[in-house]
Amino acid sequence: MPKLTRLSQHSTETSEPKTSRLLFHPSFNDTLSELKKRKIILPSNPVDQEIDFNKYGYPQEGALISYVEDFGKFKLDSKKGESLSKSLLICAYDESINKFEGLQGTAFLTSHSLIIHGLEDYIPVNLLTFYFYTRSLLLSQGSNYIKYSEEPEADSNRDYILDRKRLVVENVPENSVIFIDGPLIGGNMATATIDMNKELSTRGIIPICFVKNSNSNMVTDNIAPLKGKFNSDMHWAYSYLRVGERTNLFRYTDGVNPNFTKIFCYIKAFDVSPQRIEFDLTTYRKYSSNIDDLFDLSYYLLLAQGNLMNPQIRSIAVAEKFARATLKLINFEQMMKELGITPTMNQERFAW
Amino acid sequence: MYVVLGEEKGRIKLVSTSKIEEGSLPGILPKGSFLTVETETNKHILRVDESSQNEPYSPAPMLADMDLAPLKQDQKCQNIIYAYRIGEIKERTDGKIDYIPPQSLARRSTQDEIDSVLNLTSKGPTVFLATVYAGKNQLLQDEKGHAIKVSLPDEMFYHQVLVCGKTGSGKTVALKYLSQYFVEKLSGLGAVLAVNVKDVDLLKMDKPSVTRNVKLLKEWADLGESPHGIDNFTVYYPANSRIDPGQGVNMKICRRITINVQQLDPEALAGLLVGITDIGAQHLPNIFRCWQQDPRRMGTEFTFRGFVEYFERGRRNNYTFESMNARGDRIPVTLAWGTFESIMRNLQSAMEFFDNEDAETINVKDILVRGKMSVINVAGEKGFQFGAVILRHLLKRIVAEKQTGNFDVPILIVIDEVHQFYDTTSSREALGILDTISRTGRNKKIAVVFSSQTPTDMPRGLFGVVNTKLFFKSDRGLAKDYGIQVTAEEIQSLGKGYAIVDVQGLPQVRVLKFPLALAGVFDEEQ
Repeated sequence: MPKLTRLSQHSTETSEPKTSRLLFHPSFNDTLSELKKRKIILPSNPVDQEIDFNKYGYPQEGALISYVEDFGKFKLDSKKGESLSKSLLICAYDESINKFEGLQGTAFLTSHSLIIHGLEDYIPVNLLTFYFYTRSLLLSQGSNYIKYSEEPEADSNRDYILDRKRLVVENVPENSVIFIDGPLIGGNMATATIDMNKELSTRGIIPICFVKNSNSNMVTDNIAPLKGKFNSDMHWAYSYLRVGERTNLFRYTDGVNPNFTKIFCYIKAFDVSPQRIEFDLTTYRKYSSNIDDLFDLSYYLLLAQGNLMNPQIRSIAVAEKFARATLKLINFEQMMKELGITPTMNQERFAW
Repeated sequence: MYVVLGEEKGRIKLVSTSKIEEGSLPGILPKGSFLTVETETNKHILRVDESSQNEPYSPAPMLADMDLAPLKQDQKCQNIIYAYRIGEIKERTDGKIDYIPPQSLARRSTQDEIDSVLNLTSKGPTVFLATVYAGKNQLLQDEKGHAIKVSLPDEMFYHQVLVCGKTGSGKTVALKYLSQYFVEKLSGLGAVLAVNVKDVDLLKMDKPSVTRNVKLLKEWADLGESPHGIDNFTVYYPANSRIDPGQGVNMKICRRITINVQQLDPEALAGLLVGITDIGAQHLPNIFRCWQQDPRRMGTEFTFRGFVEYFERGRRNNYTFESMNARGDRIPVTLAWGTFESIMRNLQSAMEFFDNEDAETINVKDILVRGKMSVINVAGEKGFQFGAVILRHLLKRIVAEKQTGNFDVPILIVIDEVHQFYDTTSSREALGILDTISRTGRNKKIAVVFSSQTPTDMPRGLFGVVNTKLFFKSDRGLAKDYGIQVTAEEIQSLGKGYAIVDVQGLPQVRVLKFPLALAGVFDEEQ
């Protein structure tokens, strides 16, 4: 069984980036140019788009197979987590998305943010993408960048997940732990996420999905003594756990696609709603003997973030900061103004 | 390195980057430092006005109570800086000012860049630019770690200087440094007249300073200076006092002096009357002027004792005297009983200063000598009375000689503990010749440095004429009253030799460090 790799064991050939990077998707500027060429106008005030895969929940046809551990609760060791945070190479991923809903279509400006715990600082690697989707065949004809889409939202998610995979796979150093905001299996992302995890796993990378604010009830619906007593799994976990504890691990397998399997538990770092931690099966099998280390690490990183209003893994919170900062940094609004993509004051006033 | 973030309320905002100068460690760039922003077309020099620590990841304080160490990465700090533009290396000619684009890189300015924007010439006493931050005093450095120097303009002297500071703040050492510059390096060489008010502070300027302090030695090395005494240095002291040879003063350069009443300017007698109202004091010179008229006319000698006896006789005449103003108008004046008694006491007390046959009389030609520093020692009993009279007398004579064009040597007059010689309530009128000097000093090359522990000791009438203020460690309120923007923490944590300043002709300079004077300072004094 492979052990969790310590920083001290890293060879000098590790792929840890030494400097922060801001990458633009190859189609970024071309898409903007196309919008200009085709006189497509977008609003200057985007809305923050949350890709909340939590809302997809578990498919109803899913099945909770079993407890992976005996039913119960386990104490977490924050001191050990602190120690691990110094020795493990830790990464995290989050994103920030601006959505521009215009008359001719919808644009998504996405900042994918990956951070790596450097020796003294966080090292950010950010990827900016910009896509435009329209239901107009006419507008999209002959363009590689104006995308025809019946379901812009779903297509945007698909592009998002592919870009995320590319950024993470290409930039996460070998033998590291990566925390990813959002569920392992959710909506139309499951296949891509599981594929990404497999790729990461081959390079000794441990992906850990971190879920907050979930309404799922996989546990409470499938454990007989709990059935009908709780509003959701989070409700149950909050009542069941004391601060600094986690539940036993559960295994979930999709009823239709057995490849969609994950191992999860709930963790309560503060006296507020707990969070869920998920691994794919491959990762779990590979690191099951050290799995408690990962929970202790997660617990410590939750404490390090220390936000009771919005508990989050510290590293994910930092990645989110970089994601938002990058969007501000490029001053996209100004870019659109210069290209004439945003409406003039009269256009805004008289609605074109 | 630093990155420009933009402009906020007229100040450029910058943040430090992870990239630091070779051989240095990350840290806060102190206030007063100079930064250079290099754009494609120009170099912009900024002066740091506000500098603080920023924690970009703002970690939660929760861990501290849980006996858990924070993430090392969360402890990252940045330096957020607000700085004023103080100049560009290349001036635009189209009437506009260059932008400083965001994301431009900045670094610490070099000495040449600072000299260029401050329009500094090499003329003037050289001091170090410095800063005070978090209770620590530091010399400002360029990117290569060299201390940044600045020359105080010579013109500063002629616009009058105020030096304030508590005992041990470095005030007197700075006076020595400025005095030595004036006699040794001022263009054409000047003369210095200083009044020594305590101990042997200024009496050993003929001897090189001695220190083992490594920092001070390095400062001298940076300036290319080495300690040495002033070659032409004389100490004058009242004949009725003595200087203890055990204090290390070279007695060969000391001269006993007396005041010759035959030559005394009547107005100088006002110096005896510190503590009496302006109106009361103004009668004495006029009574004296009138009294000396008759013996002068007759060509007979007269003594100060004779005048005191004459004044005493006024008691019989209901305190009424004949007086003569400077124009020669004779007017009878009647003194109040209290005023009479007070003047009488002062006259009797001062008799011993006058007409000592075995002492010399000091003349202006002894003072106005290029490259010479003269110190009148008034330390000791009654010394201030003597000093007040002789100072008024000499100042009057110096101005008179300069006005007639007999002497064109620049003169620096250093008056320590100024309130001992002039009432703090003195109006400009009551200050007499001092006020004249303050207004005309620039033309006549007469400079006065007033030194005091607190600016409130300054004669009120001089408030408006002092254009350069050097505040060594003092009370904040006092500096603020003089228009110096300073926090209590800053002024109270000034180290020896460090001063918050407002220098005529150098508005951009705020904190200075004076090097140790090259003469007259010895380790035990430091």
